[in-house]
Amino acid sequence: MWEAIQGRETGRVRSNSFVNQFKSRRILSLQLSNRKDFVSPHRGSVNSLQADLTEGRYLLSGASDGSAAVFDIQRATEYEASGLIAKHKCIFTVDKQHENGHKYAISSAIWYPIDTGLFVTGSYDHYIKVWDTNTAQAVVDFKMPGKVYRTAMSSLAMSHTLIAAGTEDVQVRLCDIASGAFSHTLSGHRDGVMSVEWSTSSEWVLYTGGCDGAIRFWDIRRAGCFRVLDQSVTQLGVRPPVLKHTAVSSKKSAKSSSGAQNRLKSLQSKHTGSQIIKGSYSAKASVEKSRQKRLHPGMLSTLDRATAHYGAVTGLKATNDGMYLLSAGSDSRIRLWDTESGCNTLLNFETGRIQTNKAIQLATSDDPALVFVPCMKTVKAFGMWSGKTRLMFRGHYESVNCCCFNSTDQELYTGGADRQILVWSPGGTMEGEMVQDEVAEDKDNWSD
Amino acid sequence: MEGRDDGGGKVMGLIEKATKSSAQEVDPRLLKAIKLTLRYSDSEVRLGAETLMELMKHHHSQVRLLTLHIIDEIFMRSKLFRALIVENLDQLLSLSVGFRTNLPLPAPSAVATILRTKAIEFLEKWNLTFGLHYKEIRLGFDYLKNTLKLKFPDLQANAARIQRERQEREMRTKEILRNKFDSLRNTFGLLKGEIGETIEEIKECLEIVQWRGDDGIPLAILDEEDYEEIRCSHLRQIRLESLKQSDKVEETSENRVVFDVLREKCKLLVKKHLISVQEGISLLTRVDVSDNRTRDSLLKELIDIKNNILATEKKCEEVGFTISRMIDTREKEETDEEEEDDIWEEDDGKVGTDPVKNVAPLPRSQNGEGSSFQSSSEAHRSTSESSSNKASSTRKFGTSGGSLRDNLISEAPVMNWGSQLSNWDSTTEVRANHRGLELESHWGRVDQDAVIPADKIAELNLQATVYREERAEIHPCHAPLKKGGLCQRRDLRACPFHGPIVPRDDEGNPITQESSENQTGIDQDVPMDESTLVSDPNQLARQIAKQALKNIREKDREELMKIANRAKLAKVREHNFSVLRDAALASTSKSAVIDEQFDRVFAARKNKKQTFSSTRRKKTTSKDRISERLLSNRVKGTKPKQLPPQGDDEKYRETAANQCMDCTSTMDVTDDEEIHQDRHSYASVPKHHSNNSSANAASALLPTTTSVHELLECPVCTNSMYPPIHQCHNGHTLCSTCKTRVHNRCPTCRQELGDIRCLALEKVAESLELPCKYMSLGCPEIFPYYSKLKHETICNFRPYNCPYAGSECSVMGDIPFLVAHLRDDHKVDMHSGCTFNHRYVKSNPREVENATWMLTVFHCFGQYFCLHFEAFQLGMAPVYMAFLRFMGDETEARNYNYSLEVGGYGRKLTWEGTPRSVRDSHRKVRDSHDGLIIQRNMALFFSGGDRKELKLRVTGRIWKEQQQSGEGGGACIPNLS
Repeated sequence: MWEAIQGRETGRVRSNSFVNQFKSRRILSLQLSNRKDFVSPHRGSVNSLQADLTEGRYLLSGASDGSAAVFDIQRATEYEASGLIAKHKCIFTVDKQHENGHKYAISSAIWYPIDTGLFVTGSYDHYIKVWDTNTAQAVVDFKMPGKVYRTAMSSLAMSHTLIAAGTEDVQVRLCDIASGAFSHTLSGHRDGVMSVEWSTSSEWVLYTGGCDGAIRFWDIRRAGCFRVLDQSVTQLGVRPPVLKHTAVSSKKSAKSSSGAQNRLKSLQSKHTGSQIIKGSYSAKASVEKSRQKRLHPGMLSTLDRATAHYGAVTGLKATNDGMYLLSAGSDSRIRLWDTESGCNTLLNFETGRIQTNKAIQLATSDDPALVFVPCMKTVKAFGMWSGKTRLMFRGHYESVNCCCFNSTDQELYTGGADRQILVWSPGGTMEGEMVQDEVAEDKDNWSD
Repeated sequence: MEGRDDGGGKVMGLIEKATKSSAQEVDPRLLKAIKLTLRYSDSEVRLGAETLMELMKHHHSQVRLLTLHIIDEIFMRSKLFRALIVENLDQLLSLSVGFRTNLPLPAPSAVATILRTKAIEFLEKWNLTFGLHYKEIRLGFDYLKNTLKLKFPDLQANAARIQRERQEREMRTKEILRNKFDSLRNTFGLLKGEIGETIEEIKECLEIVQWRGDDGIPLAILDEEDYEEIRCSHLRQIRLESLKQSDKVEETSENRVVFDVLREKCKLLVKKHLISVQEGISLLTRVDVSDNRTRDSLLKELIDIKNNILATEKKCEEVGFTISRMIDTREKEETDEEEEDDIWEEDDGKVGTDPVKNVAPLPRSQNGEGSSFQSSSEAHRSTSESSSNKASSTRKFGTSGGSLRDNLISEAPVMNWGSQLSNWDSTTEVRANHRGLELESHWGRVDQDAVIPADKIAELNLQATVYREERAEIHPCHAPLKKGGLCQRRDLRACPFHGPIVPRDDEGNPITQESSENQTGIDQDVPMDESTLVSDPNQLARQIAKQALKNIREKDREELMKIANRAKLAKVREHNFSVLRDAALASTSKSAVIDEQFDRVFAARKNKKQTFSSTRRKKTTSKDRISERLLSNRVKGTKPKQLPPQGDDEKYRETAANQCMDCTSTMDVTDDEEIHQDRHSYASVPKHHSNNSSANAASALLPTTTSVHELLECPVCTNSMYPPIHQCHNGHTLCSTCKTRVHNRCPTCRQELGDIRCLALEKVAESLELPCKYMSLGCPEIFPYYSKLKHETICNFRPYNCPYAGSECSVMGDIPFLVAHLRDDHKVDMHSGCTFNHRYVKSNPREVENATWMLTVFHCFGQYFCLHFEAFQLGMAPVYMAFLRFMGDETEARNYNYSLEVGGYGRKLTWEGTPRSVRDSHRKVRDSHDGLIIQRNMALFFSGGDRKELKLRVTGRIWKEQQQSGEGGGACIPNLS
């Protein structure tokens, strides 16, 4: 460590790499924090956790007892054992007793991505509610057609404030906070939608994973989904050479969807000329786009039926660079998809069992690229490009539902069915340095 | 490397050995060995942890328990071990607590329970000691405690409570000491003065005595007999010894006065002052006060005084004055006790001393005084003699002497010591609750002042004596056995095998009475000798021969006995027979029948087979009769199932007597009616008989539909089924509401239920027409099956709910029944007449939450009305409300009007309206505010006075509105809210 600091001092080490080096070391030493406790106010399993996206300071949790709570990650409310253990009590909760609290379990609680003034909860009582953080009052609510499994808001949306909601219903609905109404209804899934995730590279692209095992990509500016991920369409390695891939894929698509193309063309010909011009323009602009356009309204039924997992897709997570998508399924597999090509990268993650009946929440870290996956009672951290288990977090007494990685503090928060919210923080650095006088030290005590 | 392996083997072996035992605890020596091994090497600890975790997985609770003990021992000691264990804490807990349902604790279950409690206990201990350092422990503890709600012994809280209690007690003690110190400081001067005075006086007396002593006046020894009786030999010894010392002054008649004074003073000094001084010293040494200087000075002075007193006392002794040391010591003991008492006297409920102690020293000290002070010996003797038997008896023991006494002593029964002696003849009452069972009020409140009177104590302490039986020697039977040897049975009189016990010689032959004395001695030797007897072949042969002889003799005797017995039996039989015959002949009219019967009985006794056949024949005849009957029934067309399945002959005969078709059909109807009543069970007693006609009318169509109707009855709730009707795979039907309750299992055949509709039955039900459920209450209508339900919700004859509002009364019935119910069960006031004038008085008008519910029933125009008066919260405002309800239907209710008035002090509130029907629930009427509402302020104003009490006079009138009827005025029921 001192070497690195010296290197930084003399300028041999760039600031960025210095920071990254330090961070990655910290991340690899994550362990159950003895110093930080979240006092869980929940009386049901914790279903959702999210640290706010602006400061990374406030943690929002949603639980099965219909309560959602907000914690301050950085400032503890009280200390125990002469400052050894920092207890973080929730700043406030909204629960069943609240006048417009949720009646049943909250399945998903997310922050409004722009600031911490609002947060959104989706519940099994068919409602999505938008809350004002400062007054702890519900400001907007949306009645959904079924239980809400997952809600998502785009972190980079500048032009819309849409909540994507996956529910029991086959349709994915986009709820507009600005207007208080549904702006889109995306149909295509054949079963309920367990997971929704906005693209991290485009504010218009939405990924959804359904109980039918399909992962669909939607461009919300257009009708219909533009891609259905197929686990059998694969590519070896994380990113194949672009040229070769496009050739292959275009050929394949040409071959497979010729009939569709014809129909599409005939359909298009009926439209006005301007549209045709526009269409041709877009087709010229990029191969990808044309393919998208050609595919989307009358996607071949074979393609439409493609599945990404056997069984339900329980979790989705886009990597921070937007190039890959991770999905977890009730077949206890994690798959890494190339979002550009839509191919399964065939990476084998060494998962054990993954919870099948509930949506799970994955988390990623950038450097080292790790994926945190709740695997029943443990959380495992896999190398994103290797699939190898790098870390294993054991501490929950019942299955873990969600995890949330806080990249500013390099801490991991996990919530489980045992109602606990556990903090996993980098260990070994300062633990031993603070010598406690009052507290009995932990040491050997051989009396005989 | 090798060494490590060796060591590893060692610790593994040790652990495995330790866990193989079946004891509750681990063998301490093995445990020590394990600890010793682990102490010196980290690798050992790692290996040990691994081994122990492996052992925890062993599928036997005993092994797990012992392993857990070892884990706990090492856990409390080694940090490394802790780190290793904590990593797998969840596993350890699931293996030891067994909280996972898929991983229950293995057999044996008794040990498993211990294992669980131990594990929980250990976890709590670990959490207490190391929880701070290991989040995992905290988590596990928290999970078990808060999520699984396991019960922890809560060690910390207990310890804290005990600590707190002790502190409280100390505080109280200190407080008491301080108070005492204050009082001592206040009275110190007085005390000092008194003591000084006494000492001075003693000195003066001593001087006088000494002077006399110097004079050398011969010492006349007091008459020995005077005190001989009252003093124990020991005391006398002391006395004699003191007498031997020539330089001591002896009491004479001349200086008796001086001595008396001296004695008095000494007594005062020793018994009072010395004690108080000692008390003071002990108090001062213990007390904790702010001004140490006063305390120290006081202490110093007290010690000086004490020394002074002791010196004086010594001087007295030197002079020969006999305040025996014994009293001193006794007195001291007593004072010590008293001291303790003093300290605790404030909270005697808790720590109070044994009451026995308080009582016990009394006779003792009396005794002592009696023996030492000769002058008052007479008086003391009398008192002591009269006071207690015990004292006198001890005294008797004490004074050795007179032969009479010795005799008496030798004759007196020796009484064993028992608790009853400690308060023998005491007249003091004993605290009943002096031990203060304060187990957190577990035993209820403790009455600290309860006492048990002395006589009760005596009664309770009655000595129980046990009758001790004299041990008698029971001689063994000693009859020779077939297999050799002698019978060793010990019976008092007779051996069940060998007859009466007679003295026998060592070979088992009975011997004559003369040699019985030495016989017993031999007898006792026999068991020991037996082995030697058997070992000797000669002896054995002889014995066998004797045995044979004996056996033969025995057999002969048995034969004889048998013959005698047989003869006796024959005689008895003959006698019985003759008696019976006589009796039979004696009975006159039925003699022949009885005779015959008698004969038959006799025949039965003689020949059982015949009887069996006869009874069988009888049975077959009855059976025949039944079959005949059945046949005839079938021919006539009645259902054979109507035949009650009875097995008894007589019952058959009965039913056979009145079996004809008409009869059965009427029975059928009544049965059905009963079923009906059961099905719609409500209190409809008074009308039961009045609807016979309708029932009869219904009976005309009932028999055709009965069976279908039965089919439409849900087997679970026994209500009629309405679509969707479900059925199981086997076709058992079930109503839809019950389907959700039966957990997808058919209640009839326990098959999986699935989701099958029974459309056929639904169609059948559709075609049915049934009378209204409230037929018995007078509804004459008949409806198609499905519209019946709809009708029943609005049927005019449907029963009313009890209008009593305060409690959730679920009684239903028609109006007369409800009136009776209100009167009898709710004790409601009944009035007749159409005007009323009521006063409502309530002492605490502020209370609204558990508001008053008052109900009065009026009877006028042949109808009943309920007047409700109650307090409730209207929004935020507390109000009182009065309204009238009509006991009957809405349509009828519209024919009546009522008015309510409340007022006083020149103001008046009036309400006029139509009574609501009791069909509308009380709450509904209340919440529609259809009545006289009085704000509390207004009500208090009407009550007048100091607004402390509510006194409302409500007057009202009910009248009949003729012209309005049928206009539908009731349709506009107001809702003022």
